[in-house]
Amino acid sequence: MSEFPLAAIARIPGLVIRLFFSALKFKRSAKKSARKLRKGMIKGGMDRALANQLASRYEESFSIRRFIGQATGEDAGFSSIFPFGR
Amino acid sequence: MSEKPERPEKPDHDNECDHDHGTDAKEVKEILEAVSATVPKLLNEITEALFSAEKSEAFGMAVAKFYKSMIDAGMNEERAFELTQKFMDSSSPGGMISKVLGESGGINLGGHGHSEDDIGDEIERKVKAKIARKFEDE
Repeated sequence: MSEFPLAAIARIPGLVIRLFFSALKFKRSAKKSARKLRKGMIKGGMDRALANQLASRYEESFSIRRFIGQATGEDAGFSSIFPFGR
Repeated sequence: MSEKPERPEKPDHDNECDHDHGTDAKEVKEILEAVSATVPKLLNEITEALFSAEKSEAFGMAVAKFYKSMIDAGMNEERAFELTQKFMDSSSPGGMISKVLGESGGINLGGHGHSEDDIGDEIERKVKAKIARKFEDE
């Protein structure tokens, strides 16, 4: 038996875990950034309700699920297996 | 003592395959090592670059300024909000990424991508060309 499957398979869990945590960090940063954006908009004199709407739209624009959907040319499907998409 | 008849040497495909698998395994190992070392680091760096607190706040103030300037110029609130949304989508990092991915049509997996969209675009183009020709004739 060649060493190929073992060598490859042994590296995959670590990679997946690291990617998963990176994705979580990405989402957390997006949330934080949206909060800052909202604060900036209110500071700039915008109405609070409008600022909330725009901030949530900004946060949604960082949806990993949507990025994957756009990258693969699908609306849902493969990308919907990720729990942190939205 | 009886001597064994010498077997004609045949090309050793098994050994060749093993060698190939060995090289493949090494390559895959190297690729996975590189991916596991660089991709998470890259993602973290992109995250830091995209979401710096000062930039977000400054961007928020710019958006508010944009909205206010339109209201001050006498535009109605609904239209101003719509335009502000568009402004934000086009200049926010998330909007830009979406735009790039949307325009590129994504990675074509399995040979199917936006074929229906392409057909729709083609039909639209042809209909427009025909209408234009008709107007020219008249």
